[in-house]
Amino acid sequence: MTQPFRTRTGGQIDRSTSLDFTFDGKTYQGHPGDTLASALLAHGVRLMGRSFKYHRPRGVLSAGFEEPNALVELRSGARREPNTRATTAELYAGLEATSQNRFPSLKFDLMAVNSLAAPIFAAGFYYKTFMWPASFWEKLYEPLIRRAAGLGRASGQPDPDLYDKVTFHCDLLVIGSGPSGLMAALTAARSGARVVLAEEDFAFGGRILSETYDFGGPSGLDWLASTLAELRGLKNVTLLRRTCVFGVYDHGTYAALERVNDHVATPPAFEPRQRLWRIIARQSILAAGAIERPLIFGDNDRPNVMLANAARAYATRYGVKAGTQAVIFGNNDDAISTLHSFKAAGIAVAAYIDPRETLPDTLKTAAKTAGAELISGVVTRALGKLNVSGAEIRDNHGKVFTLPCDLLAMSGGWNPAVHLTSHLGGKPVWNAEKVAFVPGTLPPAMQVVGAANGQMALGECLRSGAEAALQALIACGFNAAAPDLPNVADESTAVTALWQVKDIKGKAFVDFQNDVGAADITLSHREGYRAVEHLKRYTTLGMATDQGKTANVNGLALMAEVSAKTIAQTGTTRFRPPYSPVSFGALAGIHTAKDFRPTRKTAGHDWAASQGAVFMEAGLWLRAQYFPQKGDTSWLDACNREVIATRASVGVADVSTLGKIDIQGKDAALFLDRVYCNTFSTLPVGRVRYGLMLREDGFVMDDGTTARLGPNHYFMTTTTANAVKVMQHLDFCAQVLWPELDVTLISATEHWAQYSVAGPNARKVIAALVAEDVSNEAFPYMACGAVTIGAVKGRLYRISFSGELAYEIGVPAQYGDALIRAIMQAGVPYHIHPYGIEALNVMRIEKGHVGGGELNGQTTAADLGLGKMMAMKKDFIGRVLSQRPALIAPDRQVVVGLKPVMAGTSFAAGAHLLAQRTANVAANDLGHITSAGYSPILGHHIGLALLKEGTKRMGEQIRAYDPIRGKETLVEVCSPHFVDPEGSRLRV
Amino acid sequence: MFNLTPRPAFNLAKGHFGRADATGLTINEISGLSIVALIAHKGQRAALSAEIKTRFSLDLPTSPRRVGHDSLSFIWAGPGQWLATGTAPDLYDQLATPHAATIDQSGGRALLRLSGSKLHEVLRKGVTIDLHPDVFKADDVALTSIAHISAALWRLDEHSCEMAIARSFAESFWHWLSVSAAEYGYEVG
Repeated sequence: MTQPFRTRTGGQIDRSTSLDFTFDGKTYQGHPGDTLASALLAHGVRLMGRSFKYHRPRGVLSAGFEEPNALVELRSGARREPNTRATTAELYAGLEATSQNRFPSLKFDLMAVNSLAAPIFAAGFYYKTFMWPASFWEKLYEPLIRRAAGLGRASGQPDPDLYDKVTFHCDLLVIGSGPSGLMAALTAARSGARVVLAEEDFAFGGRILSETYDFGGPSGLDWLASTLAELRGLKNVTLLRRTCVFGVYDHGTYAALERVNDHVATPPAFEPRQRLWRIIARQSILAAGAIERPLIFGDNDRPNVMLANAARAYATRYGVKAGTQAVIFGNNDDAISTLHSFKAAGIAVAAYIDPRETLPDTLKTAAKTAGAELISGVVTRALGKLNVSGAEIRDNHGKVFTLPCDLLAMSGGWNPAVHLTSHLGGKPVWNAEKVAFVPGTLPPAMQVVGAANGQMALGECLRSGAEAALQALIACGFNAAAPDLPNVADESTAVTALWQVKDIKGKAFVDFQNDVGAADITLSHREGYRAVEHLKRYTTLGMATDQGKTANVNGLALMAEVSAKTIAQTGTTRFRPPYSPVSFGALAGIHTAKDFRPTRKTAGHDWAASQGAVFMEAGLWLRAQYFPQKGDTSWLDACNREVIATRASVGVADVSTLGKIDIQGKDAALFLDRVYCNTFSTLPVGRVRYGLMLREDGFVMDDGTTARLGPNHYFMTTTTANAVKVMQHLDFCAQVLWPELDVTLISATEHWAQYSVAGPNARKVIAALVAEDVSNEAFPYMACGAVTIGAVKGRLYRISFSGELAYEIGVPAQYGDALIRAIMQAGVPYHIHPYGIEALNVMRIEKGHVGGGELNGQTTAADLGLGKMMAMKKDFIGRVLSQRPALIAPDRQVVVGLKPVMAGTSFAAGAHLLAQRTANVAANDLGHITSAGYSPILGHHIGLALLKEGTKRMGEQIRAYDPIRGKETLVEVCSPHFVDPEGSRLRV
Repeated sequence: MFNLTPRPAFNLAKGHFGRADATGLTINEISGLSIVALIAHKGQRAALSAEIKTRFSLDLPTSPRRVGHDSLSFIWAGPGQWLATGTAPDLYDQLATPHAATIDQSGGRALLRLSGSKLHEVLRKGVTIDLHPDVFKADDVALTSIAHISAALWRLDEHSCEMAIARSFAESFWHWLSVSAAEYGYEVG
């Protein structure tokens, strides 16, 4: 297929290579260097989308990131990406694009009937119309609106691509690679400073690419090439193209998105699609350029009514004639450049229309050269529907006439791209002479140069870039020399404000993406929404993917006009990150799905997995929940088997996840006496004691056992859940509360792989493993000490959570895998079973040991039945506040045991406890079940509960009411010690 | 009597991975080292330094640095704290001193050596500190976080470094490292 609107020569495209792509299923060709928009325009395809609210036909407005109209779905399947700007989508072979927001087709869109109803779709329409009844909103209005008003569609499938994040430090970050940015980067680079130059476009050069510049001999493109060559040769320079700096944060931190592989159909294997850069820069220079303002006249949204700089870019950079017969409408001297570029590209210009009474001679000459009639006046309306077909003109004498055209280029002046300057709260300042907002208070260590600072002329850009770089270098301590600047003439940049063409027909759009017209702003004012932030919310001006880049200033200028205020008084809405849309994938990086956060695995994990263990999460840890076997009908079968095997013979569980803290020093004993409510200074060396730790507020914080390994050496264990919290707490105590104590603390959780071997035959298994005497006499209940397993030094603790004869045996973690295999082998004669968290939990409930359900942060030692542990003769953390009246009130909920009254009935943790014959209301609540399970030893369900005045209710029958599971069970209050209450099994 | 065989934390399969035509990074797990944490007792830092100097001819670093060599090194781990790594199997016993608490951490740390032309490109995907060789010099130590996992990192030379992480995180850490290195190609030695 030919490209009828491609110029014969010129442009930054590779004409020797042809790329096939499709738009709405039709195949077209373009060249490397094209955007989707430029390639479509080369074919004369100008209708690219339908507008958000009225479904009006739309083409491209811009040639860049500010594009509000030409949004397409790019790619297909899982890679389908909605709302991609055709003006920035870099063309690649096989690109698939689909238009959005139309049904059944782009040319014939049924929803365009909205346009006929435009009067009722005015600002605030949704607020006014869908107010009543409220219940209709969720079911009716919202789905209706979403279907009608949505733009593109997300794929709804998992993103198949990789995303990646990097942190990069530099002396100077230069944002934007136009003339000012390049000049700044070059000046800084020569000094040896670490420089990052970030460019949003896929080519460096900014407007050098789209203009015909004379750099005092060499052309703009020549200067660009030699500058880039020099920068590329310097090791201290990092050039990032396709990289948008989208946010400014504290302490010189900038966020940027690099589109590493958005310009290919599928990223090469192992490469990310996009990369999020966190750039930490000592200094920064914002050289983001400026965004041209549209002019507001009737039907100014018709396809091929386009910003003048965009039409120039298509002609000069891409070698594309956006039309064959143009009308240019402007209020500033940029028209000179537009006229030149149209002439060079072979676009006929019927007329240049400008309301200004006096125009510079250069502009008159340019018009003459281009063969354009100069008309003092305004365009009142664009004609045509799917493509502009003519301009209705009213000259300054009031004469109205039309001129045919297929391209209407407009320029209302320039808005400096000040967005990043306000991310830390700075407010742009109105400059009446430049007819633009310029940066106000800047983020620390940021300078703004060139067009972004309202310095529009090329010479100013180069000068300001070099000067800012010198300032930045001095601030960073570099010796810097001012560079020779290219000898360029400062072109005229005169502009006279023209916010709105009055007395027009047709709808005049301010915000193209949100279909906000000039009339909507008047309406907003009339209805009292006059502050800019209200105006934005009421009309949606400046919302959505383009964030009003072409609309905001026009919108607030109109608001200023109708409210008879100045633009400075009216002010702007605050710009927030991101400057340009950022995909969630890039923000998440590789941390998605199960990699959202790290997983911790014990040394015995692989062994457990090899036994078919089912794992559950415990904080970051994975722990074996149970070990299923063939024939099991549910997890309960496995759990019952593990409990029975352990209580009948021997079982083994991995307890490596418990927190372990090594505590040493002359004051270690004193330290422990203060952090535990019970006493540890009296614990003999070689013995273990159960300890209870309170918070400062008197509630229980954590429990565990602590062994005394030497006079000044203790080894504490914590629950898995609280390991980190307890370590932090102890560090705080040692460093802040009692810095005078000679005590050292370090976590040893990771060093020790530890297994609990429990059951009547536990000693036989341990004896087979260790060299030492572990007889009851030599190693009694609550003993601890060093042991040797083969050549490995380990530790043995005779402690029990299950209530059985039990040991915990620990070895350095590199031997953890070998140890569990050795334990299993040693246990073969006793039919040893590994057991998981489920069985462990059942056994501790049978034994009446408190766990996570009871240690809930709201229970006191007394509530848990451990009140006597508090050694009130000494001081300890939580001592004083544990005696507050409410904490020692006699009617507190305390831990009790529960069993069902009727055989075969059950209950679950979370059920609430109520007396019989009372109403199921909160006022009657007596407490709740904190732990529950089936005891295969007793043959019925058992539970622990927090029950009001529980100790007085022993034997009482109450109701376990469980509205979530729709269940109620009659239960009997009993002692929490279901199995071996005397503890005789522990000591055999 | 049972003979327990140690198992490396990462237990990596050797070979070339990722991009096939390049090797931007070589990764080796360092296993079998003795690792001992030293924490000076109150008021004992100077005495401990003197003792280490006398016995091992090494100056305990007082800033985030590492001193020593492959057979014995001391890595700064906080004020008055060090991590000693060494090849002696009885390093824990050797380091016993009245001036400091010593804690065996041989099982608790997983160590990697990374080297190659793309070291910086890989590390910057997880490390947020400035890794420029003029800033983070040879034998400089950083206690930092990589992919939400605490890590100690020290540079050997411009293109190589070593790092220690808690053992239980090895698999998650490997996920980060292997995905991050894949685009440059990597060799596990």
